[in-house]
Order: sequence, then structure tokens, then C-alpha cells
Amino acid sequence: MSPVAFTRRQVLAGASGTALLMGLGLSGCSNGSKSAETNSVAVNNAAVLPTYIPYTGLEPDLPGTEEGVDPAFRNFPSENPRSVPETPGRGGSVSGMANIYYAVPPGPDRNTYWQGLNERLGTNLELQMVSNADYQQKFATTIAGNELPDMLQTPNGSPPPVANLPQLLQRRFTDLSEHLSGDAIKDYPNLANIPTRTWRSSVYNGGIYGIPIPRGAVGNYHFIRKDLFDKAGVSAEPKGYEEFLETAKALTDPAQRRWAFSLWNQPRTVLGRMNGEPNVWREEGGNLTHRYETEEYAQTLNDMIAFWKAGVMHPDSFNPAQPFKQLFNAGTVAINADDGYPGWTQYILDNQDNEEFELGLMPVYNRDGSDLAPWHLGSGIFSITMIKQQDDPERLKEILRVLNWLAAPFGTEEYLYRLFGQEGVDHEKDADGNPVLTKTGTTNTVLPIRYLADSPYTIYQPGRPQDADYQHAYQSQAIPTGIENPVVGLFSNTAATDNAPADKKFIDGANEIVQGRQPFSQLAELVAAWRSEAGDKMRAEYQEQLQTGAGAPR
Amino acid sequence: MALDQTSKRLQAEPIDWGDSSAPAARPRRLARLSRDKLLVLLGLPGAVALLLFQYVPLLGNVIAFQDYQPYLGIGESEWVGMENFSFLWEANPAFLTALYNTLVLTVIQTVLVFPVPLALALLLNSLAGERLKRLLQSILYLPHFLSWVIVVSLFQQMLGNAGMLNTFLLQNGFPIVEIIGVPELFKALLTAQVIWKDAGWGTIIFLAAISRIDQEQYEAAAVDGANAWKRMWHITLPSIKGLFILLLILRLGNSLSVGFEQIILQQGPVGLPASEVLDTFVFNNGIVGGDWGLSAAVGLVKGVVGVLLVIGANKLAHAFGEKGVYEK
Amino acid sequence: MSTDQATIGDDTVRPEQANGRPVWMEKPSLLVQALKFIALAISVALVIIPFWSIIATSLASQETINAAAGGMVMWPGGIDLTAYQAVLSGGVVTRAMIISILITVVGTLLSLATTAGLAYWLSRSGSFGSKPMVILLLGAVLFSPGLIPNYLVVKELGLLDSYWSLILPVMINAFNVIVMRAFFQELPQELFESAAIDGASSATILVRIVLPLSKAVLAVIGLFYAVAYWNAFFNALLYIQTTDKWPMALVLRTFVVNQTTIGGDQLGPAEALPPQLSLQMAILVIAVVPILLVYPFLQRHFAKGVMIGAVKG
Repeated sequence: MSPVAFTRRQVLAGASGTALLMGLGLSGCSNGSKSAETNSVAVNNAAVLPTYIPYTGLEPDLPGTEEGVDPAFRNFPSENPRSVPETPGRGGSVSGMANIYYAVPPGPDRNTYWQGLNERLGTNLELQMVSNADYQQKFATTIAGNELPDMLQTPNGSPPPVANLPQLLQRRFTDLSEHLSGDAIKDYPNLANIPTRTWRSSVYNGGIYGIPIPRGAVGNYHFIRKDLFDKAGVSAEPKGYEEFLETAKALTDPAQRRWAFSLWNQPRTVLGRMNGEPNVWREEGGNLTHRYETEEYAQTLNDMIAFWKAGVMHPDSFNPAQPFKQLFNAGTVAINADDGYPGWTQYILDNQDNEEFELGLMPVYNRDGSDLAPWHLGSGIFSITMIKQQDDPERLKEILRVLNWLAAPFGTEEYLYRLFGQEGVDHEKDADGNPVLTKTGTTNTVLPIRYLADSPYTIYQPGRPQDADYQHAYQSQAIPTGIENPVVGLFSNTAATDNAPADKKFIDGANEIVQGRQPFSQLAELVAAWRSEAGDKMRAEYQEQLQTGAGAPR
Repeated sequence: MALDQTSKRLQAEPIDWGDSSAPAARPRRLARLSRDKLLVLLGLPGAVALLLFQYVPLLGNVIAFQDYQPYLGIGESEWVGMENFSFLWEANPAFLTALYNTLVLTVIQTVLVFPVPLALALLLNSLAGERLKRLLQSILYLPHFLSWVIVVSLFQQMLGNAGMLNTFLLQNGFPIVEIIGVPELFKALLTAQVIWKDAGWGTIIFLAAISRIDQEQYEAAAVDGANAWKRMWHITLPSIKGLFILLLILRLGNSLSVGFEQIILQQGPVGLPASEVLDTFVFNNGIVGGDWGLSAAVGLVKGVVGVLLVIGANKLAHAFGEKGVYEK
Repeated sequence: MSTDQATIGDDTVRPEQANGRPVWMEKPSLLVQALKFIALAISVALVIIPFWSIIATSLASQETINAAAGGMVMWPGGIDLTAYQAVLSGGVVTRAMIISILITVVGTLLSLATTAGLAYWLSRSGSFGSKPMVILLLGAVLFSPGLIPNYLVVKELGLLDSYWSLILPVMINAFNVIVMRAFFQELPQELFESAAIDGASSATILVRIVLPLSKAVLAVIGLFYAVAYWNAFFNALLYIQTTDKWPMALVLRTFVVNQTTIGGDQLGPAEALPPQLSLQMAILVIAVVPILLVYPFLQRHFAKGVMIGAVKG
């Protein structure tokens, strides 16, 4: 154990509590008073977003589209061009904090991948990793203690669930406009490869306050167990409400422990699209209506009652801790309609030993089955990476160069190393040239650097070229029908704070209705409660921004 | 030598170690300090740690009167008076439900759950074989090591609507028994889980107390013809009564905290009216949205209620001639 | 407690029959025996069955789990160690386990020493300052400081990212002090008086008389502390920045909580993980076994009658 210099004087100083605490309270630097106004629409509209310069060094097998279909590669490119000619770092070290979805990797002294990364970056990357479940609390204490790393990821969400984010950004983090606005971003070509759509979410106080972690416009996939659909003899493309319900019934057999859905939000998502619910908010002439307030939502709730009664949902569907991925892998449920699109890779890997397993994606038709239902596009970001205020502009540039390296596009040399490490150590190439992680690589490469900077998503499934076509086709079918959530890119403090508890209460109440414990008429009361606790305030905050300008800059 | 001096003082006033209420031998404060300095010195490291890591941060509870923002700190966050305490007088129905559920659970847990470890300890103690006793105890305290997440998921796996029990029933043509997810049974479920998890663990402290009982007392009683039941009633129980009461008073001090993690994990299926307690109410209404002031305010209220209950319970204990947590 | 007439040091082994029953103890009636047996058998079954299932599931393959509809199994159907291999590969968990053992050992010793010292002081009624200190202890049981103030204190003391941040803030648990004090108070006062007359200082009395007579409570409180140190992850999450310094509870947590997230962002390629459930259960086994091993060593201190022998006053 490393002993701490824990001198008597420190102990005594500590014992005089008030002085210490006051010191603590004031330890936050204080430059200027609270200024919510600086994040006004007018200033934000004045911000100039970075110029979008897509990377052209590699040609995808299936191109992406302007609307947001992700480009796809059937195999890993055999040529891996360098996208960053010079070592970004200048020695020393750069610190960062991000959430992690895997078990933590070994530290830099026992991790050749990490060492190699440091070498390539030309700096010691000091990473704090926090499991995503605990990230919000760690984030809050980090802010309170003012012990900031150079690069700090916001908690996942759009807008990020951080109270008073604009004021926080102004006080503690760097306005990057000077370095990234317009053509200035050309110094960081890999950051320029991030689509404009996602940059909107990093504009606060009239400036660019972070690097967005881009995610595909498609957002979610409606995963299905195609093999179970075939076994039940039903189509994997149920058209309309009646057919969907019949399909779900055909997939259900409680005596065999089989159900169509594992969690309440699975059928809810599909039915919501079917019924034409808005993508969270609906904007008409600058006025916003939330999903919960619509006729369509009431219809969905009605349908949910029917689905619950029909027994097609797992009996523990209202238990939020339901291990839905596990149930899907086990074939206990056949439809997993509400899961992030990167789940594709994990499901394929989880089931590579299961010969029967066939993963599919389900299109959703409108209620009468006449046409595809509108797709609800995702927010396009995972989080943003904020940069601590730096005294030295050169250092700021160094940090940006490091982030630029980390954002290297799919197929480049930097990308290959970032995800797969060193050939022969962390990965081996298969016959088709696909990198396959070794045991060492699996343990060592899971540094959460992809939550500090990332390239736009690219469809690619190692060793399964057909998956690239399948996913690309699904996205190409869905995305043209897509509707945006009109408030994406805007910040509402209520959305970042009060909405979470209000929403939880609403969902809880709605689930009571679905289970028949409350009458349907209770819905009106739930909506009223949600509106008074968060909804109306949130609406007002968003509407003000929508009405004053054309929203955030586009 | 300091040691010598101390011991001499001790020699001089041995009576002071006996009963403090004896007024005759109460030296002046300084004299007592000088007499007890070695004693105080022994306790000092613990006392300093307590002050530094419990009481200094407790000062941070002033944020109960603030709209606390981590990035502003205590110095700059806005003071809002009693606003964070408004849940006390607004008497909104959700809060009242939470309070009601909390009180019911407190009563259940104090009356039904709290004595279980004692009963189990007595049962184990009545076994003759030392080895068997140790083995059983080692088994029964195992569940304590599982976190609530795991306990809840075990119950789900075993008793859930699609769990082992119900699958067995279903596959053999019986109707399923809904246990989990039924609002009416929720409190019973919580109670069963608490007992399952911690009853075995709770025996440890009682067994330690029982182990101090002089075996010759039993022997003498047996010779006098007292049967096992009488020996338990007249020797074992009186010997651990003090400890039992002490633990009970401390439990009362935390009356308003009833299994936060356990409950928050299981609210989904049964709904808030059946499952909301004070802690989850605060969580659902404030913490989820990062309302630090509210959580500090509720912590203070719970502490104050705890103080009142402890003082009351301690008075009661004194009235019955027991020591309680602190002396008169 | 009724140990008014007592002396020390009587730990003679009493005559026992082969079944462990002292000679004076009568054989219980058949009915009583049957009732006891049933009560204990049910309690044990209620614990053993789920634990059996935990172990079986930790060894089960994905196929077995799939056959159980993704749930826990009672029979692993072949021993599949991939879950254990996955957890133990890369050396992160083993390293964390060593850290956890060190913290638990050092922490428990420090906790016991400081707790015993404090409890001893406060158990001598009428000793200087003991009354207000008891009130402060109670206050610490009833009021808990918030997350952020705790963090700030640790930070201001320069303990961030130090192992001491996992020990010092939780070194003293007021509840444990109160319980230990109660046990100390039960010790026969005559012992102290005679020791003091013999010229023993407080420290000598503590070491020579109080502690030897209090092995049972020291074992219990020691176990309470040890388990608390072993299971603690939250302070490490807040205070330890270098993942290489993480204790095991926190490392294992990343295996469990992360993969149950709805709409998780498990981007990018990774190796296939062993079945979720097996992994979770294997982690459980790995986390629980070391601390379980401690218990039998402590248990013998609970044995009847060896702590305080009888004295004929």
C-alpha cells in the first residue's frame, strides 16, 4: 500500500471542521455569477458549426446516406491508410474520465495495448473508468471536488442529464469554437468527419463546448429471433396490429417458457410506432406536444392492455431488472424490440455456438398494415466530451490532436489499433483479413477511449459479410421514413433533472393500467401529474428555443 | 511516570469506575482528565476518526437549506430556506403513502423480523453438539453475503411467475401461484427476503453474548432440577436481555429507513402505491434528478425522528431498570 | 448480564459425552428433538437450495441455461469453467483480490484497535469526556453525511487515489463501538478494581484483562468490519482513480451491472462472453468464498464457557 503523507498538522487542520468545510465549499473557482442567459437561442444560433468533411480514404462496400444510413463494410479493409501523419502528443500526460461497459482492463504497466496506445499518442493517457451504472454519481462528485481530468465525458443521454450544464460548461470547461468552428476544424480532419447533425448537441452558451460521440441515426433495432419465427410458422414482417398480435400469440407458449416479449417496453416501442406516436415530441408551428399527451399514446396503452391480457408478455415484464438479453439468447423470448443497434454484434457473438440461432430485424408497419410506420430516429449522440479549461493554448491543441487521433475513421491504421490492438498480440487476421481479438486483446483493448472520441458508426460484422448487406438494407428501408425528435440538440434543464422522476412515476402508473390495477381513465390524471411536475416546464424551455430561432443551428 | 500516576489515581478512586451516579466521588473536570488521560488517549484515535469522517462531512448537511449545485459548491449555491423540507407540510398523497408504508414495514420488521435471529440463536444454542452447531451456523449466515440485487433475482428465479416453482406447477397442470408482483403480498415478500438474508447473520452477535454465560450456572440449575426450557428462560435470556434491548433501541433509531435497495429493485412489478417508502420517495422525487438538497433534508428529518425515538426508548429502558444505549 | 460472580482463566475442559452433551444436560424428549430437527432442516434447506443453484449455474454452459429458459439451473449438466476463466483472465481480478485482502486485513486490525480503545474509554463510566462522546457516537448512528461532503473531506485530506481512503473513512463504525462498549460494561468490575490496586494502568488492564475476556465480541465486531471492508465498493468508486488500485468488489461490479443495461452501448468487437448468468454466479462464488473462509477461525471464540469461567466470589 502506498502510505500517504498524513501528517499531524493535516489531521489537526482537518479536525477544525468548519474551516475545512468552508474551504471545501468555496473550492469551486468563482468567475462571475450564475448566468443562465448566456445559453440563449440567439447566441447559440450564432455559433458556427464545424465544416463537415467526410473521410474519403476508404470506399465502403455499401455507402452511407445523407439521411443517416450508416456505411457498411463486408470485410475489414486490407489496406489501412494512416489518417494522422504526426504523433499528436508532446510527451507528458493527458487525463480523461469515461464510462465503461466491460470489466476493467489491466493498467498501463501490465497492458501492452495501453502502452502501444501511449506510444502512438505520444502521451501518457491517464484514464479513470467508471461503470456506466455508477457514472452519474462519480460525475457529480468529480464536479463538486473540482478535480477535473483534461477530458471528461458527460453521462450518457441527450440532453446529457446534468443539471445546469450550460453554466457548468462556462465555468469549468473550454469553449472550443476558436479551434473547431467552420474551417478551423480542418486542422483535425478526423473530427471533421463527424456529421453536422451530431455537432448540434455540443453547442452551449454560443460556443462549441465538446466533442460529440456520434451514434447512428437509426438508434434502435427491433431484434427478432428469426429461427423462432420460422419455427412458429409466422412471417418476420407482421403487417398491422392484428397480424402483430397474432404473431405474438403464435410465439408464446408459457408451458414451454416461451413468450413474444420480455419487458413491457418491447411491445410498447413497436406499438407506438404502429400507432404513429411522435418521436418523443411533435412540433407544429413551434408548439410541442409530448408523446404522452397524444391520442396515439392512449391507443398504444389500450393495445398494451390487450397484449398483456393475451399473455404474450413474459409474466415478469414489469420487473426492470429482467435480464432481457439473456432471455433473448435463451430463446425464451423472440422479440427484443427496444435495444441499441450495436447489440447486433453482441448477439451474434453470444450465440456463435448455437447452430439454430438466427438473428433478424423486424420492420414495423402502421396499424392497418398498409405501409411502413415512420421510424423514430435516434439522437445521434452518446455523450459529449468536455475539455477542462487549460492555461496553455498549446496544451489545448495537444488534447484536441489526441481526440482527433482517437476519432480515426473505420478501416484506418489508427482505427485498427484502437479497436484491435497489435496484430499477433491483441488480434490475428482470419482468412478474409478480418481482425479477430485474441484472449489478450479481449482483456486489454476495452479501454473506454471510444467515449472520449469516436468515428461515426460503420456497419461491419467480422466474418459475416452477409450481415453488412442485411443491416444496410434494413437501415435503408427504415431511415427514409424516419422522423426526428424536434428537440434534439437543445438543452432543457428540466429534461436534465426533474423529468427523470416524473417520467418514472408516469411509466409506473401506466404499467398499473396495463396490468388492470388502475382504470384506463387514470391516464388523464397521470398526464396531468407529469405535466405539472416536469412536462410543461420542459415544453416551455424547448419551445422558447424553437420559436426564437430555427432551434439550434443546423 | 505517567503510567504510574494514572494508576495511582485509579487506586485512589476506584469507586468512580463502578457507578457514576454516586455523587460523592466526582472529581473536578481537570482532575478527572489527568486521572483518565491514558484512558482517553486509548480512545482518541477512534474519536478523531469519528469526528473527521462523520462529523465534518455532517456539516455538509447545510445543503439541506440550499439549492445545491455541485459545480457551485456550498459557498455559492443558493440558499432556499426550508424549501427542501416542504414535503413535510405539503402532505401530498404520494408522500403520505410512502410514510404509511414505511411505518407499516417498520412495525413488521421490528416485531416480526427483529426477534428472529434471537430465536434462531437460542435454537442453535440448545443443540448439544458443538460441531453440528458450528456447521449449521456457517450455513445459515451465508445469505448475508449476497447483495440485494442477487437476493431479489434469486427470489425471482425461484418464486417468480415464470420461475422454477411456477414452471413446475404449469408443466404439471396446476395453476400457477402468483407471489411476486402482487401488491397485496409485497410486504410479506419483503419480510421473507429480509429474514432469509439476515436472520442467520444476526445470530452471531447473540451467540457471542451467550458464549459468555458461565456454564456452571447451567450446571447448578440442572442439578437443582431446572429443565432446558427453564434454564433458557432464567439464565440465557436474562443474560442477553441488555444486548437485545440495546440493539432494539438502535434499530428504532433507524426506523424510517427500511431496505431502500431491496425495495427500489422491486418497485416495478407492484407499483408505487404498494411499494413506495420514504427512502424510495426521496429517490424517485429528487435523487434521480440530482436534487442533493432534498436528500440532505430528508436525511436530517430521519435523523431527528431517530433521535426522538432513541431518547424515548432509552427512557423506557431505564424505567424498566435496563441500561439502554446510554446511561442516565 | 449475570456475570457478577466471576473470575478469569477457568478454561478447563469440562467432561463431555461423546455426542458433545455435558454430563449434566438431560437428553431432550423425542418431540422436542423432532421439532428442532424440522425447524433447522427447513432453514438449512432454504439456504442450501439457492446456493446449490448458484454454484450449479456458475458451472453451466449456455445450452444448459437455454434449456432452463435462460434461468438458473439445479444441475449444471457438465462442468463448464469458462465463466471462471473469463473472470480470472488478464489478472485484473487476482490483483484486485490481493488488494482487497490487504485492505481487509489492515483495515480490520486498525478498526478493532481503535474501536476497542474507544469502547474501553467509554465503558468506564464516569471517565473524562465519556458522556458527550457517547452522545456523539449515537449521533453518528442516526445521522449520515452525504456523498459529496464525504468526498470533499477525503479530497482535502489528500487521500484521493490512496488505499487509505478505503480504510480511514470507515475505520470507526459507531454502531460497533456501542455494541463493544456494552460488552465491556458487562465485565465484572471487581477485576478492574483488583487490577488497579495491583498497580496496573488502564492500558495494561485493557490488554491483559479486557481484551482476553472479550474474544467473542472482538471476533464478532472483527467479522463485521472485515465483511464491510471486503464488500465495500462505493468508496473505491468515488475515491480511487487508478483502476489498478481497485478492490475486488468494485472490479466484480463492472462485470455484473454493466451488462444488464437496457440499450447498452457495447460497441465494437469483443469476444463472446460466457453466459451472462453463469458469469454472474461465478463472480458471486469468487467474491464470497474468501470471506467465508475467515468465519470458521472466528467461530471457535463463540464456544461456550471458555471466555469467562466461573468464580466463587
